[in-house]
Amino acid sequence: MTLEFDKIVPQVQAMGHSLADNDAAASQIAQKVWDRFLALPNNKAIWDQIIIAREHDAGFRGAGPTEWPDSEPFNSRYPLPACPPTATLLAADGSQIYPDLHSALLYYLINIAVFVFHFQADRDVGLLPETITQPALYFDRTDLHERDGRLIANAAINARRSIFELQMLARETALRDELPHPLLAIADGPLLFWLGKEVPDAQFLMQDYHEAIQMITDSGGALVGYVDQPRSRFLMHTLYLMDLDESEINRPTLVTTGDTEGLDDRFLMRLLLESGDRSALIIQQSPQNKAFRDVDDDREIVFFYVNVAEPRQEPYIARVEIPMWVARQSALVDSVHALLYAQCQMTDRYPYVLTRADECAVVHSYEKAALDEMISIELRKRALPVEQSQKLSMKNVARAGRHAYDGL
Amino acid sequence: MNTEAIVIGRVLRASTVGFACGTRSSEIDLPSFGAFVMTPGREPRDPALIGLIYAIRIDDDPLIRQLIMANHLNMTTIRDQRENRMVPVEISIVNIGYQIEGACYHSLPPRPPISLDPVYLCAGADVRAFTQSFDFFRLVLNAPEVPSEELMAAAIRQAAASRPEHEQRDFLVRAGRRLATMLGADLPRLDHLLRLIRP
Repeated sequence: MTLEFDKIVPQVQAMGHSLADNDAAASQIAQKVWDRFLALPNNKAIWDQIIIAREHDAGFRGAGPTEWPDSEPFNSRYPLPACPPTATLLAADGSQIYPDLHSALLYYLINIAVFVFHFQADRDVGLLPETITQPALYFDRTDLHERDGRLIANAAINARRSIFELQMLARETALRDELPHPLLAIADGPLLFWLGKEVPDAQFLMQDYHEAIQMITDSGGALVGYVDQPRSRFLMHTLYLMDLDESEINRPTLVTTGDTEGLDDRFLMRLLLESGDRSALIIQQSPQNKAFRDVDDDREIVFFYVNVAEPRQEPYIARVEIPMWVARQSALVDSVHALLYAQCQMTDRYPYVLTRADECAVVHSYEKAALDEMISIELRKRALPVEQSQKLSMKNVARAGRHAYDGL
Repeated sequence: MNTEAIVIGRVLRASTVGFACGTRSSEIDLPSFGAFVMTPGREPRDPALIGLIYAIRIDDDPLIRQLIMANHLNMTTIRDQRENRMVPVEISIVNIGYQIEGACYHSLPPRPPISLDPVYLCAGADVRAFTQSFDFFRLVLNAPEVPSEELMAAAIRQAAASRPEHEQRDFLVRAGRRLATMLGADLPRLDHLLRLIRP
């Protein structure tokens, strides 16, 4: 054992003390924030304020209501609708092995899994779900190194994995466009995707991403991004914006959210949403979403919050992102809402399809060890040198710990 | 060695006393408690090990627990768990003898099977040949950490069932007599065993 708990205990206690202080401070303003949320004006008034923020180039990062006629009031909630009799749900997830400078061979691996669930409202009817996995090994110098010779950054591998996830989800969705609809293509995480400067060829990767979205759209699939435990503060930003006079709407002011600092949207949603309820459809205001809208009006990302807990449980909030073309079809929104809630009841407040996609995609440490062994054997078969780092070898020896000899 | 060529699993770990084999949950229709199994030798002169299944274990995992707790199971999920997820099943076997070129030996084998060796269910002819003699009884009754009376009885019943119907009663009586000579000093155990195999 290396972590000396007697030294860490006082630090954990200090952390608890600090968090309790913050929580107490937040609870003092919570009631005021909730009252302001309930008293929000109509959607037009909210949009008027957002347009001022845009005109002032104030860097507003909140959210606005949808803009079509009879759009849902910003602080409204919608009860759980019934599930369709049949549906097809596809979920994708991925994992990776990053390049290890101490291993016998420099490589990285991306493993993508898609899980297909044939939903039947009749519980006694069950079609066997499908699992599709696609591992890809990258070992070529051009795969592993940037143009300037630096080793590829982990962030770049993560970005490629995200693109591959959506591409495989799109491909498998398109292959099943004749299965019972609604056809839900569920991604793990937000749909609004952007690439940092550390990712080479970002422009091409974004192009791939949008092509994958288009493929899902063309096959009639409803793309869904599921965000567990969202810490987003879009509503808090909007609440703060609504409290400001026109003269106060500028970048320095909107850097914060005023007295709602320390609270995220889940605070409001836990109070608003009963079990199974969803919030209104809301549009995130950000340059990323504008970029999506610029590609195609139908591609702007809309979201709603949903309480996926059972009635006997404490509220548990998830954020569900959908493209605008899905959001415009109320029956399809109802299906997404109902099916995701049903999925979350099968396991514990997290969709079964995403649980299984993750299980199929994850590469365990013992699998990595087996892959390393396969690579070493392949190198030896071809009389290539296998030189594993002594540092890594000794770490593995020391970290293995002590074990009793097991009998049969 | 005749076999029905039904592989019930592959060796996970082994010793000369016994071994464990692994299989998938979708493939456990055939192995049963007390069944005779064998692992073939790799060469003709290698011993083919004969054993008895004394335990079949299905481990749980956190997702299974979660599904049970959530109590929203449907047939699609059940099929996914049983047929798609590789739920491992472990079958434990106690060694009771071996065969070399058709000759049966009722003692512990000279060496254990090797990891990933296939494990077959014995065919009726193999069971009959091996149980012509009851010398393996002592190995079963003395096997540690094994439900020995129940295993002994299950094995005797399976050996009887492998014979023509008109021979079964005589086989059971002969097995009972042999048990009586071995367990004369432990009458409660003998009584229990005889009740279990009574025709």
